[in-house]
Amino acid sequence: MEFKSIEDTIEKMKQNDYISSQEIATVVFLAGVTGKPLLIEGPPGVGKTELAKTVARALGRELIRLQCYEGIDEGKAIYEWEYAKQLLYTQMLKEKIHDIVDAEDSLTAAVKKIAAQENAFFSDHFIQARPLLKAITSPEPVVLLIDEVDKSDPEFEALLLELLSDYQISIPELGTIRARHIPFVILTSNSSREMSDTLKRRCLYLYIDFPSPERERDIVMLKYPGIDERFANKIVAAVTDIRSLDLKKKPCISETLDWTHTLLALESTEIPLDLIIRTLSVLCKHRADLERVKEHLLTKEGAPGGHREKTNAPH
Amino acid sequence: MTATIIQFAQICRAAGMPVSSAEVLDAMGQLEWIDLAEEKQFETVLKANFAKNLYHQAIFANLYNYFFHHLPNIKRTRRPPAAGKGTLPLRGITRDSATGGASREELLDLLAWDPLAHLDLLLKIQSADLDITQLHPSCFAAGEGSLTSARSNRMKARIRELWGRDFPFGDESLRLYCQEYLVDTLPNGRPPGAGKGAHSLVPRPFHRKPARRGPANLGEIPFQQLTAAETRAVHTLIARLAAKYKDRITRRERLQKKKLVDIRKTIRKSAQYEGLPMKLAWRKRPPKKPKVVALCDVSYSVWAAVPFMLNILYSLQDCFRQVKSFVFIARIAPVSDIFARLETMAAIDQVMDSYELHYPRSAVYGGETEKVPLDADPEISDYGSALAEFLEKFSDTLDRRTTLMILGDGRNNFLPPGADILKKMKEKCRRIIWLNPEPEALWGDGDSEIFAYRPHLQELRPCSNLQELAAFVSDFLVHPFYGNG
Repeated sequence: MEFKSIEDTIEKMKQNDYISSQEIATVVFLAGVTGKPLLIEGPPGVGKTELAKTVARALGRELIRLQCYEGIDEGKAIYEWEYAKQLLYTQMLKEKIHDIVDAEDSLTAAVKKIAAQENAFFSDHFIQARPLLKAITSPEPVVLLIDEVDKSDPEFEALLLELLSDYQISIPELGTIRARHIPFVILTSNSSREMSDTLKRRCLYLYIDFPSPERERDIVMLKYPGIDERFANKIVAAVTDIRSLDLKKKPCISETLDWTHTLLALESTEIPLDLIIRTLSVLCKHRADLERVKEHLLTKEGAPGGHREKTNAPH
Repeated sequence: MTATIIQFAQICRAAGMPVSSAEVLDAMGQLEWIDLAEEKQFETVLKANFAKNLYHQAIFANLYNYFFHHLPNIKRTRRPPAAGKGTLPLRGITRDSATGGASREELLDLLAWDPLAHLDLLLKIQSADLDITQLHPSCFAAGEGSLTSARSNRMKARIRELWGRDFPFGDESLRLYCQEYLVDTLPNGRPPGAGKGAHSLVPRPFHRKPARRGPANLGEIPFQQLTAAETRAVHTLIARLAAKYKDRITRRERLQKKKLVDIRKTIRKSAQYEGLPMKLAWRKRPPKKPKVVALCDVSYSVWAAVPFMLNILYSLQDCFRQVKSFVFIARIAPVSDIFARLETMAAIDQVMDSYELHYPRSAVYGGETEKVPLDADPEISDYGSALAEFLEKFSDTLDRRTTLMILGDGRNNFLPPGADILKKMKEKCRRIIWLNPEPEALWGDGDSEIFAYRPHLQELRPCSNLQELAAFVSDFLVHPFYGNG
C-alpha cells in the first residue's frame, strides 16, 4: 500500500489516530513517492516517533526501529559476526576438516583446500542481522525508524550514508547487499547536535514544532472521543499559556494528553486554578519549571491574597 | 519555473543556507508530485529541501516571502527611486564636504551603523567596474556586529579612500541605484533617523541584527555581546558542559574495553579446553590522551572569546595528557604556570587582568575594575612575530601527539603574516586547528590574513559563541575519532 496523494496521506494518517498538518502530510507523501529518507527534527514529545509508527500502520508495513545512543556502532546497527558460533562450528566440524585436508601432501595445498571452504564460515548463517540489515533484506517493504539519530556519534552518521543514498550495505566478507524493497526511512532527532550536511543532503527535512492550538485540540478530541469541545479548548489554552513561558522543558503533546487523562479521571469539567496547580506535575517535570508556572498562574489570577484563598479552597 | 527556483536557491545560499545542486534537483523532481496551484505545497517542497535546520527554516520563511511575494511587486511597479525624507542626500557629498557639514554627518551616521559592506560597495561602484544591477545580495551580508578596533581602523581607511575620490554625479542613474541599494540594505531597511515603516522589504538575513532584548539562548549570543551576568552564566554552563564531556570520555573508555574479540588470545585460551573456545578474549586498547597547546590572541577584537576557551580547556585537562597555553598580541607569553598554581577561574582572572586592554562592558575579570583607556595601544596584533617567537622559544612543547589550537581573528595590521612559520609548526605537531571569533563573512577582508594560514590548518572554524565553542570541543577534543592519539 502507498500514499496516493497528499489528501490520501492526511486521511490515512487520521484513520490511524494521527492528525497531520498539510505540511507534514506533504513531506510524508513526497518521502513515500520519491523513496527519499525523511529527517524529522523538533522538541521532544511533539510526535516524531509517533509519526513513524503511524506511517507504518497506515501503509500496513512492519516497523523496524533502531534506537540510537552514544557509542552505537555497526555491530549494533547493521550486523555482527557470531564469533563464538563460528569457533564452535569449527570445533564440531574438526573431523570433516581433517577429511578434507588429509589427502593433501603439502601445507600450501591444504591451506588452499581450506580457503575454498571459507564461504561456509563467512555466510549469512553466521551473521546476526541488526535493524538496518533487517530492513533492507526484508522480503516485504518495511518502515525503518532510526530514532534519536542525534544521540549517535558522527562516524555512525557516516555508516548511514551508504544506506540512505543507495539503499545498500557493504559487508567486506560478503560483498554489497542491496535492498530487496526500498524501505520508508524515517530519522528523528531532538537537535541535541547538528546533523552533518552530507546526511541532511540525502534526506527530506521536516521540523515539527508544538502544534497550533486548533491542531492540539483536534488531537485531544481524537484521543479522547466524547470529550466536551469547550473543555478541550480550555485544556489546550492552559497548556499553550504554560508553553509561552521560558521553561527548561515545555509541556509536549503527550503531556497534554496525560493531563487531559488526569482531569478526566478526576471527573472535572472545569479547570480552576487550584486544580491546575495540584496537577501541574503532569505537565512540568522540573522543579524550577513548577515554581515558574505556579508563580505565573498566581500572578495572572490576581492579588496573592486572593489566590491563596482560592488555592486553599476545598474543591 | 526552473530559472526561478535556481535563482531562489542562489538567494538562499547568499543568506548562508547550504543549498546543494542535488537538493535543487530533488526539489524540482518533487514538484511533479504536487499541485502547483497550491502555494503551501510548493513552499513545503522548497522548505523540505532547502532549509534543513530550525535556524534556516526561519531564514527560509523570510526569504520565501520576500522572493515570491514582495519582489514580483517591486519588479512590476518599477519602484521610484528613493528620494526626499528618509533617504540619503548623497548628492551633497563632495570632496569639499569632507571638511564638515550635515551631509558628511549623515554619511558618518550611516557608516557607524553598518559601514564596511557599504563602503566596499561604494568603492566598487565608484571604480565603475561593477554593474549594480548584477549585485548579489551577499554583498550586503557582511556587515554586522559591534565595531571592533580592527573594523574601526578599516572603516577609517575606507572613508579616507572614499573621500579621496569624486562621487559619480555624472551618472544620475548610477547615483539613484546606489541610493536605493544603500537605503534598502541599511539595518531594518531604512537609514538612521528615518521613520518607521520605510523600506522594510529587505529580508532579515541581510539586516544587521537588532539589539537583543530579554532572555535569549545563551549559547547563541556572540561573546562580544554578553553582559556581565550572561558572561558568568556562560562560565557556569561551561562547567556543566565540561562535566558532561568528561562523562562521555569515561563512558567511551569503558566501552572500548569490551569492543572487539581478540581472536589470537581466544584461540590461545581455547587450548586449555581442548581447543574449545570456552572464554572469549576482548581486545584492550589503552586510552590515548591527546596533548593540547593553545595560543590565544588577546588583542581587543578577540579578547572576549579567550576566557571561555581557556575555561573549557582547563576544565577538561584531566582528559588530556597535557594542556599548555600561551597568550599573545605581538609578543607571546606562557600562562600555563598560572593555571598550575591557581584554580581555573582565578587563573583566567589573573591572565585577563594582566593585559592593559579596554575592558568590554561584559568584563567580569580582574575584580571588575574599569581600566583607564589608553590613548595609544603600544602593542598591536602581529601574528608573524608571535608565531616566530613561539617557534623559537617554545617549539619543544609540540610533538606528534599535540593538537595546536589557535584562537584569533588573523588580523595582522598589514604586517607580514608569517604563514611559513605556521607551516614549520605544522610539521612539528599532529594538527593545527584555528578558531576564528569573527563572522565568516569578514574573513580575508582588509587586514585579515586568515586565508594565508588556511593551507596549513587541519580545520578553520568560526568560534563566536558558546554553541560554536562547544561544538568544536565536542568534535575535536572529546569525540573518539578526532580526539585520541
